[in-house]
Amino acid sequence: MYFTPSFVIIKPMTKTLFKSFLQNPQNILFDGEDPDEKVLYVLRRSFITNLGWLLLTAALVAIPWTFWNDILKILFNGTAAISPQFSTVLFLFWYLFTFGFFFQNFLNWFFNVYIISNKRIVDMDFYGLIYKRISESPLRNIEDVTSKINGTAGVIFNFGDVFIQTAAEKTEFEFSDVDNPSKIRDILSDLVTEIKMK
Amino acid sequence: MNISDFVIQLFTPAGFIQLMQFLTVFLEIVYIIFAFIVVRQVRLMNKSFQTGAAGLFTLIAFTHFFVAVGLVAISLLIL
Repeated sequence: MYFTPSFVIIKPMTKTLFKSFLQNPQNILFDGEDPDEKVLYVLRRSFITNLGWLLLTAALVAIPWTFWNDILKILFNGTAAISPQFSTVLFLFWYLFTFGFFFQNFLNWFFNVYIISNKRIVDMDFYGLIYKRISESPLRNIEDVTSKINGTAGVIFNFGDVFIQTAAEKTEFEFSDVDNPSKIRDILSDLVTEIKMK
Repeated sequence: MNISDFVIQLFTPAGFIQLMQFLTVFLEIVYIIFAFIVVRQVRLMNKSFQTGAAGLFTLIAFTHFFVAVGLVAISLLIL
């Protein structure tokens, strides 16, 4: 029996783990995917939009190393020395909370995806812990695609929104803060033209 | 000890630390609920959108949950 080193599995995974624009992704399946359906693109919010919570996580990691004694003094008003056991428990809880905060935000970014397959577009939204919404529309129903880049960060890092007008009950899809919105608009327009020509 | 003695005790340094220890354990127990919801959430997300990293996320979510449970156990033992 052969043993596969973990880096053999993890290395190719990390190549796609943090990407916000995946073309022809491998090993990806979504709920309701047809057997003859092929996922062409998986899009997420641009990675740069995670900067806020990443900086906050970095601050939460750094605080105990720099201000831990000051925090304890403020918290306990300098009136009594707390036991090393209690200090350790607080320290561990702080890092557990920080990790939970990081993981929760990462999951929200990772699983809020926009999927373009050869048959349809899918918008998967997970907000917080308990909200899940999945909308989809066949490519044939798409009528109009508009891309928009606004704001300084959007112009610098080339991310923005793509609005997709459909003839279905849900009339508009919005791919928010995606990388390279003009390219996505072009891809979608080409796919829709191709499918309507058939 | 009657209630007024107990309240007065809370305003002494030792009493205040005891109160904070109690609050910390309480928050840790609340955190276990959050960690459990994260486990369920990861399962739901993996079901909706399956990637090669599904196993990794499940492993992290379970580790996070068991560390949270372990922290409460440690707190109850040493505090």
